[in-house]
Amino acid sequence: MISFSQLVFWIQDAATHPWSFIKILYLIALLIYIAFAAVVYRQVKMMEQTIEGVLESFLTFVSLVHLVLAIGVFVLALLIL
Amino acid sequence: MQMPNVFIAEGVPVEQDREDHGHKHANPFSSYIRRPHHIRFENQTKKEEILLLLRPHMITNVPWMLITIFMVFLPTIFTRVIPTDFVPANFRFITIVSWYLLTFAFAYEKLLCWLFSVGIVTNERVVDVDFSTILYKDVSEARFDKIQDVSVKTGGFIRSVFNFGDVFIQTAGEIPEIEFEDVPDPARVTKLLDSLISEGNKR
Repeated sequence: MISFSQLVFWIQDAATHPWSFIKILYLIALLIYIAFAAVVYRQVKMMEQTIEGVLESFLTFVSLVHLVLAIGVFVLALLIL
Repeated sequence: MQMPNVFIAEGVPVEQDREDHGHKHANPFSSYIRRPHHIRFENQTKKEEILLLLRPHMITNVPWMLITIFMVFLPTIFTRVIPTDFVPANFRFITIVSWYLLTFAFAYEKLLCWLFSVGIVTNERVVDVDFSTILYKDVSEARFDKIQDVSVKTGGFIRSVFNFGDVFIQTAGEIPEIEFEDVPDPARVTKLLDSLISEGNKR
């Protein structure tokens, strides 16, 4: 459980170091994006089951590259921000 | 099942027509594919043959393509209009990379929805697969003996110029209407459906 004094400290810290606060927001957004990319990958597989023969392996590959890129950007943000 | 004559190009022998329009390497981005032997759909029976695969006309993709182009150039425009010097370089870099990832996701989602939202006419039934978003799938189908009426709606400058429109298929089944939206050459599609329905009724 977060105490009131801890909460006040975080707010003060966010006010004095806004970029560390923004970094957390960026990382949360990028985590959500990874979840989205994973859903896209799964949905593309489902779409390919519905209609087979439409650029199958290529679309799966693109979705996988997209997911890997999303993870890569998250890791990069974690390292350089 | 004997193919209706409307399905065979005028003056072209059946076998040549089959080669021209039904070969394995048909353009995967085409909106009007006849006899796509390489494509199968969920619940397709072994005896069932796809006669026609339809997608919305390619021109319907222009709006999202323009938005994508705008999104690609937006960071350049934005940085020229609004000074971003107060933002640390590492934040600027991650923001731009994330923006392009988002732009890609937007375009990719639109492309996927267009590619997989198809209308299928087989020798047994019509199937309409709709992906309005990447998460939402809607499949409806009707056998020819359940189809009551087929109608076409065209109109407007763009639709007239590029010859595309909506084909409405009224059915006696659970789903009262199946709609093939923005398909190319709707009159030809209707003609094919009418022939298949009348052949189905004769049997």
